[in-house]
Amino acid sequence: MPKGFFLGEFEVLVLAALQRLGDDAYAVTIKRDIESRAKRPASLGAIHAALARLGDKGFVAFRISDPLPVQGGRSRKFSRITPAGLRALRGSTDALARMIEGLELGVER
Amino acid sequence: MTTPSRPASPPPLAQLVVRLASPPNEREFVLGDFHEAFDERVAIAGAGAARAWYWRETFRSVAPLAKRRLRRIRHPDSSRNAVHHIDHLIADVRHALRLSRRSPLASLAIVATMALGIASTTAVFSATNAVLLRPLPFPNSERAVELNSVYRGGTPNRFLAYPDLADFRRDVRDFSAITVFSQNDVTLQHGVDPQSVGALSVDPAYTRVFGLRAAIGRLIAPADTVLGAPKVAVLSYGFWMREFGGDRALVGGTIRLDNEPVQVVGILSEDAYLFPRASIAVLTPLVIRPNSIMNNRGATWANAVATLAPGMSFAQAGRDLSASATRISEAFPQSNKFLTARLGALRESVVGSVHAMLELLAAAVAAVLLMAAINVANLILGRAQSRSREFAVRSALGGSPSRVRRQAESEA
Repeated sequence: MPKGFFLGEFEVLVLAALQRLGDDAYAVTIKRDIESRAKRPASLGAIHAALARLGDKGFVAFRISDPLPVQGGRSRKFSRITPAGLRALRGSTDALARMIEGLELGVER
Repeated sequence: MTTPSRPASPPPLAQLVVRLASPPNEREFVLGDFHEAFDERVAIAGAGAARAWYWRETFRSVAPLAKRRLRRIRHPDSSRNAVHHIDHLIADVRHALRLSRRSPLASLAIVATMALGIASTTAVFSATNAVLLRPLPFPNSERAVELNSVYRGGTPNRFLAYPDLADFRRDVRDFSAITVFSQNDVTLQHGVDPQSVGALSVDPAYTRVFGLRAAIGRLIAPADTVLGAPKVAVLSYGFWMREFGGDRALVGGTIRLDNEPVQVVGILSEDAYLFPRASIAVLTPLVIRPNSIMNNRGATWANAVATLAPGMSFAQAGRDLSASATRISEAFPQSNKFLTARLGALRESVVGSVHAMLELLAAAVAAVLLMAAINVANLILGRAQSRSREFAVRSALGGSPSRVRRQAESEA
């Protein structure tokens, strides 16, 4: 399996958020999703950097929206997980699941 | 009456930090997302808390953004970035074409000036490349050297005495082949009027040194150079086509050279390189008559070109040749007392006379191109000056300085 196939922990979180958010995924909603579900802080800068990295690998595709219909309205950069990204996400989570299967972690959830 | 309070805005310094840390093509979206999240915080917790959040978020974001920006600088040709730039380039080129239609005279002047500069540079470079830079067009031409004789204190002479050459062949082991030849134009009787044609008397080594091949028949063989052997000739491809219409039956037949019948035994291939001049039409065998002036050490009439043996240096071969010439001058002081020999690269011998002229011409044309470029730069700068308003509008609409600069470069 190629080295670039495996993802870092934060990249897994970002891809999972993209899969859940569907067409409404951009940095602000991704941040909200990660912070509310994973209970860990995710800065906007880190999310943008991770998205760009995943885009270089072909795991994420981008779409620029029309400017918002208000004065000075800005465009949003929406992200969408690609089939390759989905495979990478599944590969990484499966590998993690296989590694911890049957382990006694000794930590209360 | 109450005045509406101004909407809260993010701390300008923090915004500047985010702007500087972000990759240029992401900047607009990163700042927009920061602003949107800031507005949400203002609505939930108030302006002060939102500003504090903005600063915290900025501190947490600077490192990943800056890392990404550095990566973009180090790897600017990542496919997505390249596509981005290509899109911009296409848009800029379209814009430039629209502009050129608006001022056709200025555009025509620019195109004509550049076309003139580039065309003259290309023409002269093509000639320089063919003459000065490319190797001579035959195998191992970089190892081909010309043997010259030099009278002490004098300039090199292209001709040598045949007995000296025979000694060099025997003594100097630095060459894989030495060919001896002599130019002697002949009169061809063919058609209505006799005509003078360029001819070369060559020994069999000539074909090895210049890598000649026969298109039809054979080349000059050792048996042809024996005294009393039947007279034979090999014709150049161009001469055969021009004078005899490419008649294949000519090979094996006879032509009249200097009023004597000579059998044509072969036709050279079309790409044959003929030294010392391309206009040579006929090769005949070089026959040395033992008791003639040809065999006299005092008679310098023969040209000689050699191929350096593999691994042999030019300098070493030159030293060995000089040493051999010194031995000969000691053995034959009457004829060779003031005579020595010298090696010259064949290439220098071919292009020597035009070398300096071509270099001068190339420099002159480069200067013409430079002047053309300066003139065009002046024209473009003049136009840019008159378009300062357009650039101001572009900047006001969000065009970054680098984007506006790229547009100007694309137009150029």
